[in-house]
Amino acid sequence: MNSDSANSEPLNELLSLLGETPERPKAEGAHVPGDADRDAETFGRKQRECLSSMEIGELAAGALDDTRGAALLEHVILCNTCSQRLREAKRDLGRELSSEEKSILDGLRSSQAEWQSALVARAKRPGSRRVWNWVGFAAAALVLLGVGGFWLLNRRGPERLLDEAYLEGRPFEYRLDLPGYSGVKQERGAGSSRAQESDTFADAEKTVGALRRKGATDASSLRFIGVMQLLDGHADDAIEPLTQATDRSPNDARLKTDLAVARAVQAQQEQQPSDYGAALNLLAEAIHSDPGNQAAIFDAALVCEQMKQYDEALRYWNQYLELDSKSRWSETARQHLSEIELKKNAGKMR
Amino acid sequence: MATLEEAQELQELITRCAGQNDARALQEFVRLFHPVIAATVIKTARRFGPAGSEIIDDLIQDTYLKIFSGRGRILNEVRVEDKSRLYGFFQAVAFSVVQDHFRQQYAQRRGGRAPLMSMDAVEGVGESGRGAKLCEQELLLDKIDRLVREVSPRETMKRDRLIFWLNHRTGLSAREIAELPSVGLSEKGVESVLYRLMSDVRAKILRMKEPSEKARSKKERA
Repeated sequence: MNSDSANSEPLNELLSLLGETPERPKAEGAHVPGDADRDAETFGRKQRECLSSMEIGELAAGALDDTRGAALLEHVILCNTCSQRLREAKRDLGRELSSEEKSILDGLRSSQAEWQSALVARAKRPGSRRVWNWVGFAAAALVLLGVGGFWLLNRRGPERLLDEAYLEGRPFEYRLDLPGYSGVKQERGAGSSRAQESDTFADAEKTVGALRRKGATDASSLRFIGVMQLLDGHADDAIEPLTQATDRSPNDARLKTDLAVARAVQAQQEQQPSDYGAALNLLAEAIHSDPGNQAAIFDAALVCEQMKQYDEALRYWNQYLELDSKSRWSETARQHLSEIELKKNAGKMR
Repeated sequence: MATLEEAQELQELITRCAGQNDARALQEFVRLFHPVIAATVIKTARRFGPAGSEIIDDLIQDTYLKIFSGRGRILNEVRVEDKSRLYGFFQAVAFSVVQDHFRQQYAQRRGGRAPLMSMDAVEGVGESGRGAKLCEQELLLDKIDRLVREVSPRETMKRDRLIFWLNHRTGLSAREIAELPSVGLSEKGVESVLYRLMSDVRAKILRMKEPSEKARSKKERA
């Protein structure tokens, strides 16, 4: 039972009353649970998985229709975790902003027109099927045929697909040298693809297929294939194209970082510690050729932690924070830094 | 509830934004929904401790990108029948972006990619005998649940049961319950259902106790 439940006293009274009561046959005319109830969730037996944050938010903000809302609430009332999450969400979403929070809101960059215009420019797609008329379409088709390039046939170019796929979340802790922040996305079952749940990944999958059929061998196409495999949770399939890309363009720090991440993820999945060493070498080379490469430094710190080289990890985290002290990546860096320092102070590591 | 004209205007705006090529529509969308999205991000983030304005701005940006991503799929699915439900939907998107961000951070701090474990799953671990006590309590809760079903009129049984447990277990007030979808009652209506259920269940338990108490006193007399 939730300790801060608003109305636990009356229920406790019922519970204590009931605790002293023997089982008794059901009274005549009382509701007898039917077949549908037999499969229903009970307090000790939940059948449905806990609600997602979106579902909790939709319930708390009153955004659902009655049928769907009722189905979700059926689970909530039987689940301590979801009960607590819904209660907190109701309290958070239902309250007014405090004066302190109002001043934070007023001071946000996102409240300014320039920020909003930049966001719109970023969100706006370069072309829209809806607004194209036949004349425009024919003209564009001529241009496409004239150029004859694969890339222009694709609505979103590989670079943009890569950026968008990355922003949808990364299935590992390491950072790639791509713009923006990418949250860690929980791993799915083996063999599954994110193309089933994301248009971006579905488009990327088609592009990877087309590039493979075309036999693309240039570094940027190979990078696209490798990084998409990596983001789709298939580090083993990412290594070959990324190795080839690095061979084609040996001074590219970004490619070395990508390959290092693939090796580090594989080391973790296959429990092959030797791959961590290979990953760290690649990262050291990337940092050597591009000392300001934040992704490479970030990953080097993580790999050092995996290899239990905590002093080295500390050095890399500090180096990282000198380059970036404000982004969301820096939050992770600070967390790792303080955890290592805490452990060191507690004498748990050399 | 939005007027028909308001609803049509909002639906048109959402449809134009879903195409993602209409800068003016996107700009208008951001202007219109920024206050609710930003306020939701600030309030939700507060639960996880103080967050700097950089992080708040990032999370607000993530919310917009989530709304506009996937070829406007989210926006294509939105139907403006009820203005408050529409605002609630964008509140929910912002809420989920913030929750997922901090929950991931929390999970990372506690073991890298380890999935978040339900609190229910860990309950009962630790103190000896606590698991058994919880099982016992679950059985009692099931009994009360059966009684709630029994004392409720068949036609409102599902709704009454939800109201009872949302108050007594989830800890929501009558006002908060009345605001939820599928309840369909005013705050006063919810209070009245709660009062009736509580009295009926209590009376039913007391009636169940009577025969055993009579038997005990008979035994004592004998």
